Amino acid sequence: MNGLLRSLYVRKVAGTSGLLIAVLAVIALIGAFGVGAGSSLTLIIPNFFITVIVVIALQMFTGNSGVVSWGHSAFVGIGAYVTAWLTVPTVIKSDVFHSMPGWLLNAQWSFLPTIIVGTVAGTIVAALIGLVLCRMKETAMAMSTLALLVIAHGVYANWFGMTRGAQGVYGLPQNTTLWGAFGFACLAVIVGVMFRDSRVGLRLQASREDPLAAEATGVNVVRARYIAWVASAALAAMCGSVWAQFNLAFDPSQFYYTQVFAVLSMLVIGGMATMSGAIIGAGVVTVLSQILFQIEGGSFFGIDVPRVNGLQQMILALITLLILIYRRNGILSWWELDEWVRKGRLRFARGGGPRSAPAAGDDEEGG
Amino acid sequence: MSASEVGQQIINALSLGSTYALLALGLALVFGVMGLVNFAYGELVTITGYTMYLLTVNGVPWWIGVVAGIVFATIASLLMERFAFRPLRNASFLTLLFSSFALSVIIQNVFRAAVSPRTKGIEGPSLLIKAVHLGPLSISWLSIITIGVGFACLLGLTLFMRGSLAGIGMRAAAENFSVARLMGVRANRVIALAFVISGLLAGVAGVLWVSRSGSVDPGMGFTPILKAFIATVIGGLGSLPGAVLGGFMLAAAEVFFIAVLPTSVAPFSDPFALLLVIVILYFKPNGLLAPVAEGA
Amino acid sequence: MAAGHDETAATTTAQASAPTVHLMEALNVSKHFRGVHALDGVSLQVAAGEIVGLIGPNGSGKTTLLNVLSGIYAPTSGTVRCDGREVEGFRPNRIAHMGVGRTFQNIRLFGHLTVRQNVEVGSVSGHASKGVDHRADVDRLLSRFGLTASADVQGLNLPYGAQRRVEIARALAGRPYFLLLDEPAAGMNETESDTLLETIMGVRAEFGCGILIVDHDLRLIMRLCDRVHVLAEGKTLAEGTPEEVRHDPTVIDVFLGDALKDT
Repeated sequence: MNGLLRSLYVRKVAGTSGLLIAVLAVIALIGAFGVGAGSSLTLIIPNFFITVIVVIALQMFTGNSGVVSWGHSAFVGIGAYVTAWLTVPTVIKSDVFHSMPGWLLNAQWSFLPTIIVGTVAGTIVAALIGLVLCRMKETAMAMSTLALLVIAHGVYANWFGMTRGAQGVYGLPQNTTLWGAFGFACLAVIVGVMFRDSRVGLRLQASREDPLAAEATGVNVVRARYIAWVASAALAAMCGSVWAQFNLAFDPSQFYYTQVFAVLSMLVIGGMATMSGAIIGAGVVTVLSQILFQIEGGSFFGIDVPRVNGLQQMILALITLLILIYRRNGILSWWELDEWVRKGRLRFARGGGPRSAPAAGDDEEGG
Repeated sequence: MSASEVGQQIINALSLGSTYALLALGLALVFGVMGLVNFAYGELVTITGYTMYLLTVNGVPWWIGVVAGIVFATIASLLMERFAFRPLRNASFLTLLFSSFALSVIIQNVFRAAVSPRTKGIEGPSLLIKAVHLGPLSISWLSIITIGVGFACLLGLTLFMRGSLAGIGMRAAAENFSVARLMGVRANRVIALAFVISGLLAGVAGVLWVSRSGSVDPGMGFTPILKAFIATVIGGLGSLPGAVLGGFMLAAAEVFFIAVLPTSVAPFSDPFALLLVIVILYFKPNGLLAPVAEGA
Repeated sequence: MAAGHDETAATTTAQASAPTVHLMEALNVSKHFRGVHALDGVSLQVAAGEIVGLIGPNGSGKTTLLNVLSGIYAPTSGTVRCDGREVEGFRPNRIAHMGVGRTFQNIRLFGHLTVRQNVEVGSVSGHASKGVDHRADVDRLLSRFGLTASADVQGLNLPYGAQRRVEIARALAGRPYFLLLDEPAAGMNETESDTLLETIMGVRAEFGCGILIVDHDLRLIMRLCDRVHVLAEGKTLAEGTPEEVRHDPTVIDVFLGDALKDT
């Protein structure tokens, strides 16, 4: 890439990710210094950042390729379980993992190396699986990711010796802090934006719009999907590792369709075509979940409300369905936050809309 | 395995297969006329189950519960079509799939909230557990009824699809929707009919399912849809006979898998079946028995 | 065309050294779909710098031939050669990399991508994607086709004529040796198709591609093309200059004379 092009790319990436990181930083500061709703913020905000990582991972793949993936939770799980294998204190390890080989039992790793290993593990598995999945046509691949979800869950729930089955894992150390989670979320943002604005990202988006025309234009659709698949799986595994070291205990149900659906909903609500959409979706759903969780528990900011089990999931699914019917592309549709800002400024200057076709006079008849 | 054990397993496979075949057929029918893999389909089984539970728990005779269950499943299926899927008629396959997922989450949680998040038991008539002895084989009445009902439904449906105008129209639409429309088959009616029939099938399958498991819980719809999905992929997403065949093949595979392999491996039967699904989809994206796509 | 053949034979192997005359050929190509013979032993050539028209009644196999040439279909039998290299069965993107660009009968833009992005995909994925200043290329093409003002508009928001231009610009962005146009004049009135005619001639003059154009607008074809190839029911009916084809009795038969007389 020549100099001008590179600097244009860097500026675009910096512009989009800069604004998003700034937004995240504000949220982090609220978490660090805010008084707000008491101590629950210390749980909610880091979890929000962790959620952002996986939503971005999904945006990288599904948002850019148009192929829905139900299977990324498998990679989150790999990150989480590998992390547990490496960080649960040796003292209790043999109680948790009955069939663990000796060298693993003695392993006691620290925060960053564990995350690296967890990420690499997920990436390797994804690289192998992707060789098969990415060669399929769109709908076949989507169906296969559903199969992957069930397969992974089956492994996590039944490989008792190494995962403690349905009872789940416990005893992880709290290595993830608010700023740690923030840092990894920012990393995810940068990686996601870099991908989307890169040539591979562009080719992948072309394949989303029209796979046939993309191929005819020279795009190797399988290869573009594969790269996105592996990269997004890496982010997902990283998320699992960071998450495990924050929540300290987990079980296979956290990697099953309920959770997967929740994350996909965030993408649908915010707009799956953009990074900003992913983050806003995560934010909206997090806030809504908290409110609904309060109501489900019987009190709405102090007022007594009848307990409704499953209200949270129900309402979120309903909102998702309504958005699919009435605003199919989500809140942000096709433009990143910084693009909306720029178009807003242009709109005031020119008097036209952000996405309108130029007036008849603008477009010269091409010769 | 002795001959009688093999015979026993065959009966099991036929019985399980009947249920799977009905479910797969319902799923394939809707897919055929609308291009939708309806993830909320499993919830029709949930609705059937809970209807039966709520009625029997309040003293209503079991048979009435059965009829009510089937009726409500059919109505629910129609409502789904009218309010959730019709507005999305021209959406992409994956949008439809995802919406049906959303719908299934909603329905599950309605039951979680309105009834209970916990599993509840249903007691059917004691007749079902009693067995008939045919030589060395011991067959439960439930199995006999399941196989009987299953085959009766398939036969009835086949006659309907071949003999009646509406049925023929629907078959045509299921095989090739755009052509059927061009020939005057009315879209809304055909789709509504498909949903009615698939609702009926889900209702019947739901009764058989609940009679076998003896319980209901909010998440019970996931397994039926999973089985139906696997069966239709095996049989070919666009093929109605394929779906039925897929249902029986899946049941046979499951029954023999569990019978032959050690118990420690048994819980992996679902994951293994899905691994096969991936392999099938890799080589034949339209299902095992579907014709190979021409050209591109 | 005999001269072209000999030159290609001599320069078959070397990828690095570009052949003197780029030649794209279909040799005795047949394509069957479940008993339907869409194409039956068709042979056709396009050399760089010439404009070849492909005409025929509906269902005569024109689009099928285009699909075979661009790799969307593999022929049931026969050979496709691009610069002497046999490419039948290659995936479309490989053929695109050998220097073939195309447009589609029903415009296939990358709808939600902007005009600039559409053309950019062609530039970075096409035949000459290494060591090229993509930004400058894209800017130049946008300007050439009058699309600079709508560069940041999403493809699906453009009027029909502009969408056509974007599709052509995208196909040219990869600097192809050959351009395959599938009914580019569909839905255009006389003025618009006149403009299109000038555009295509301009493209040939500027970019030096060989152009194969399928269309029903016989007026356009006869005025534009160096040679015309007529298909009917999957077979070649006639081939030659527009004048020759226009007066060929078998062709007149198929096209009901009057239409041809007007051109």
